[in-house]
Amino acid sequence: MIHREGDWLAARVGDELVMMSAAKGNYIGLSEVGARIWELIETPRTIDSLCDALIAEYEVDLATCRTEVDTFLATLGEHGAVRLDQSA
Amino acid sequence: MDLPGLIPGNSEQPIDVTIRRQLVPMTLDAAEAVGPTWQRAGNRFLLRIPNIARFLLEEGRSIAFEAEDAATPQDISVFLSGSVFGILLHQRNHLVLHASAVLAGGKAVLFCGVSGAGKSTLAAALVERGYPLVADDQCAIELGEDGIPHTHADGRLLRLWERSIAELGLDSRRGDPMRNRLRKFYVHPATASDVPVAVGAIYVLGEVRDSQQPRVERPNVVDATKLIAANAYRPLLVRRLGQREAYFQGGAKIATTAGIFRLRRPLGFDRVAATIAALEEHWASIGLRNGAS
Repeated sequence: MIHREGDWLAARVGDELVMMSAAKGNYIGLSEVGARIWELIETPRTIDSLCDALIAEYEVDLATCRTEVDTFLATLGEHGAVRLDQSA
Repeated sequence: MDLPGLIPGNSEQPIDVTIRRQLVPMTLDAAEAVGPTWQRAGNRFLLRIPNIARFLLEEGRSIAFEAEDAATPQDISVFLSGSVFGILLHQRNHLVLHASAVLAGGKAVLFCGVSGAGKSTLAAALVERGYPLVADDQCAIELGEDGIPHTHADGRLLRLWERSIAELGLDSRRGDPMRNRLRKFYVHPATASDVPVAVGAIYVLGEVRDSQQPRVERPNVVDATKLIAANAYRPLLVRRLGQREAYFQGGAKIATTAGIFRLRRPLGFDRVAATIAALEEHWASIGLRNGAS
């Protein structure tokens, strides 16, 4: 499962999302798709379920989607914005 | 009100700030945050400049000060019109940027940068070309109920400010540079001083080598949002007053509605015209009508 983590404030700038960690004050930026993923994981869900949702909304094949989602989640993980537990 | 040292009310304009001499404590009761020269307790902020004065700011509305040792009125007025005034605006929950601003195409265009970055010089050159001055050195931005960022040219405040300093007997020296700085506001009151002006664009000033042409760059949204907090008049105060979130939300809002840019230009007075030409071209491209009105 993917869980949001930390105390992030989010603000839209056009299609993009800027987020600030309330505790640490550091900023990250999400692209339009990244912002959509952030919305989709507001309640914890599996990577499979996330990819299913994205494939339904965007023109992307499962393999590409899965690779890009993995990379994206790893980046968010480095910033302490998500946590993945084993059942993913 | 007829208290000694209190600034009398002005029949034309509401009192915006009161400044008075009075006893100011060395410490605040129940201070929540304490630094080497300051303490904060709720809406009260105590600043101590050793051998000059202690200043107590309350709720963004009043300043009390007590001189220390042999401080001259000029010493005190320098701090009053600089740091203390900046803290007061920070206390009002405005976004207070270290910026000068002019009016272009009916909107405020701000130039941010550290002291010495050339904010005032550039603003002065634009004023020469007919763009009215909105703010010098400190520029307060408020997000209205519509979420649109506005700046407070607030000539009222600045005029009151000058009057305050005169009435407190702090203007004892003619030719005092700070006094001249304040007078500048008085002789160039912004045309729309009583009406908030929408923010049209914010430029953070940078430099290029003299041989290069001035250029405007648009940073990515994260850097743009960060630039607002980084160019706060007193960045540390943003933390001390617990306003990081407000600068974050405000920065994102300004990036969306107005645009945050970097202006890199060569320094040197002979290059100012080229910089202004680059700015006017940019204003046309972002819908700020080219022209001084």
